[in-house]
Amino acid sequence: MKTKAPPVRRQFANAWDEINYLRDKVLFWLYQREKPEKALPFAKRLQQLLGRADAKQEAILGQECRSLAFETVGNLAKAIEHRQKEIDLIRRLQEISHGTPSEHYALKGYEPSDLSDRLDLLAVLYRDHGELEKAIATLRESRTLCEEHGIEFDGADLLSDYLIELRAMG
Amino acid sequence: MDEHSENGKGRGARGEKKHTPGRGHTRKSWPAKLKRFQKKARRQQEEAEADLRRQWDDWDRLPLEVQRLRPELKARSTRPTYED
Repeated sequence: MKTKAPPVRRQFANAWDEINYLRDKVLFWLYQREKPEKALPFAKRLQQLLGRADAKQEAILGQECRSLAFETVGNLAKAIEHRQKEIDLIRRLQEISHGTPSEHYALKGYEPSDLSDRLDLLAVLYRDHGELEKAIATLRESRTLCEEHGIEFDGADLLSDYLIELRAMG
Repeated sequence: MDEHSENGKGRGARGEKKHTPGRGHTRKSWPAKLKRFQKKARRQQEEAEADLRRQWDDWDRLPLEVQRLRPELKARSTRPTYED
């Protein structure tokens, strides 16, 4: 059964509320339906909004959305750059929040399993950009992270596919 | 014959106001109902305010760097006024 697109909204509490909404729209059309042309208007709105709300590029969500927007328009090099920045910022967040009273609240949505997901997405971008070895290295990094935290590694199939692809290339 | 006049009020055959039994009197149950509705509305308002206060408290407790990394965690409504 096909899932429905996120409901249309026209009123938002603030810029980040709207950014979250646009991100969900882009994710739906880009990954679930695989129709980047449908994601394009949302990606453009996202880029405009991010220019105002996250001008200094300090927010994790901002980096993720920039990566998605560039992926939608087909600029994979930029998408990789921002996905990598997002991962670096998540690591920084985990580092500074570890052991603090607000750790649980601050890390909501950015736990080790989420970091592993982002690494898997980065690997796919590397592969689509023709950098298969980097993709494999990133997936191995994701696997190690999962092993360290005792969580399931979702990219196992992807890793084995990429290894076969690499062997076929000689 | 048309029973309704231009202003929408029901009228009888000879032009009088149509008989509508029970109108114009407060029902016996209404005051109790009103009190119940007001109580529920007040409770919902207090819950929403407490939730907003909690959101702001959580946000204020975050270190500055975390606030910069996660601006989307900031409460979506303006800070409530603290009254005694």
